[in-house]
Amino acid sequence: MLAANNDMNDEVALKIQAWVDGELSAWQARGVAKLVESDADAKALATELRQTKAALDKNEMSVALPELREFYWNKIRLQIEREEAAGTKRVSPAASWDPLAILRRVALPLAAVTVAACVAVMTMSQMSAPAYEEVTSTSDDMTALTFHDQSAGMTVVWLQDNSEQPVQDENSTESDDVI
Amino acid sequence: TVLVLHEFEELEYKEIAKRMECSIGTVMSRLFYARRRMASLLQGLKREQKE
Repeated sequence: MLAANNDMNDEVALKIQAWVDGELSAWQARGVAKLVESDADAKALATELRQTKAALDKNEMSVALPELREFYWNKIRLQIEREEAAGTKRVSPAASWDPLAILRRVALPLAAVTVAACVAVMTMSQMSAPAYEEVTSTSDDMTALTFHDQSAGMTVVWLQDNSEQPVQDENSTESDDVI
Repeated sequence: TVLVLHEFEELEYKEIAKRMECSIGTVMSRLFYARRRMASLLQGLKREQKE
């Protein structure tokens, strides 16, 4: 039976409800507890609220909802994806022998080594290039033309005597020909 | 909604008020009237079961 709350103030009724729910502070709870003990209507309301609360708490049926097929397979798919994501972090033995993977791992250091070797060869060839002395001719009758080929390691000097007889340089084997 | 949030979700008044974007006083009064309604329904059910 519903308690006759008509005479009871709404504010008081709400306070009794809050007391039943444990929402009041200790000081407020003591005040409401005294009221409930002294007033019959308040006591009836408190009892009714507790009964309604208990009916909802105890009589709630735990219903097992049927699992849909799609939901079931989705769960499995998500589990597989999670395991695959965890598995890709570890390198499997089969993947280490993959030629593409090996090539990728080796390509960059190999390229760096190749470039360094080329630079070293070029530097060494420049260093090993024979230094040639500059010859200064003091003769006014002599004209000197110099040709130097670093790649072939060859230097040709053409000396022309402006006097009657032309003079050949030591490097040329034929007269008037530059080798 | 207030009854479900309080009885089944076990939320406090202030949490319910925050979720429903209303005052605590509104939550309390709605809960009170919901309980009264529930009590009358349960009473009706008891009478039917007795019969």
